[in-house]
Amino acid sequence: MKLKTYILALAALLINLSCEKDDVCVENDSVYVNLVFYSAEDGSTAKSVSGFSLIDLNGDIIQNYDNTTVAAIALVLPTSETSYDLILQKRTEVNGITINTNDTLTFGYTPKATYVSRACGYIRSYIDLSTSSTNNWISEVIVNNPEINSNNDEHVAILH
Amino acid sequence: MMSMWLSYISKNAVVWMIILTSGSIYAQKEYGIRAGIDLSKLVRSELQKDYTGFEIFGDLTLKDKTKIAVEIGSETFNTNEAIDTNLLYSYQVSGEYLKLGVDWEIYQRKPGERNQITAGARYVISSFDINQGTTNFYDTAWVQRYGEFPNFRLEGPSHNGLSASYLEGVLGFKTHLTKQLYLGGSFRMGFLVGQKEPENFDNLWIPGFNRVTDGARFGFSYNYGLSYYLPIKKNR
Repeated sequence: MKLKTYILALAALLINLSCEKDDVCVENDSVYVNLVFYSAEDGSTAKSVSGFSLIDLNGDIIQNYDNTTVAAIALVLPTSETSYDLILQKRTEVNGITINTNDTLTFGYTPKATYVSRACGYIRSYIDLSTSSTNNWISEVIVNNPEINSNNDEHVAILH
Repeated sequence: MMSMWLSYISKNAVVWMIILTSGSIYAQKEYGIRAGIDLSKLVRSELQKDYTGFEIFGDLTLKDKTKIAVEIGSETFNTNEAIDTNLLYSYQVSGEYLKLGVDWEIYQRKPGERNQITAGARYVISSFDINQGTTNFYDTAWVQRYGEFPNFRLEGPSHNGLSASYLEGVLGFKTHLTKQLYLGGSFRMGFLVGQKEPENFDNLWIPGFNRVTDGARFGFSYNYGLSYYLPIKKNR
């Protein structure tokens, strides 16, 4: 009888589909802008920096790197803005006196919030990244890729 | 809202005509009209502060064991997605649905018995709005450092005029309290066939359909309520 077949099919489907796909976010994550330090001499040799701070325009310290050697910085640019200024303050010791050298990095960008899935929700990424910098201890800033959509890439090279 | 439903119905008028004519060509022994109200949605509205729902249903016996069935309902659901206690995003879905289809009695009743078991199918249209609440970025590095996800926006946007259509398989049962008063419910499995999706978001919950799972088109729901049956004898 057709109806019995229909019921059996419905019951079988109900049993099968009660096991739903696990809702765990595996697809994606929000993206940080990776700044990587290079030597200004040839532009391709990695050159770490030690003894410096990241400071915002209000003078508030975002992050201190006093006793660590840093090869790269992962940066969040505010998604409510399209430009962002960051002061990189480098400390050098000359004859026992600490001298601060400031350079201001200016970022221009378009933030993106992309809906990925139920489990991940929204992730952050950026497009149209551009930078400029003052040149006190930093000699050049190069944007490798204006599209910031992966945490594995080196997005910006800072030559010093 | 009703005009939208009517436009849907006119689009699918051919389908309804086939259902109606195929039912009415058979000689009728007895037919009747049933009207009822879903009590489970009223109880859930009372118990769960994030949910408000209402549904009325009815059917019309065309042939001995074939009925045209209809459900009309309205649901509002506030919910969110979180990882542990860290909120990712919250949203509210609010809308109406119209379910129309056929039920067949599959249980051979003994003479005089009025209990029923039915299997059925529905075509459903649902029309709804989504209001998004607080939205945070999924950012695992940030949550490890600060203990919560970074905020993206505090409220909004709203997505109005969304819709979905789906087919539903129904397994129903009814037991009679008096000759005319029945208590019964149904289990339903929906299969999503079409939807108008919000921009940069998804239809994660649809009125009448319930939760929508990523990568799957199936939804599960139920109803349970009280109905009044008015039999009308017809001699041929």
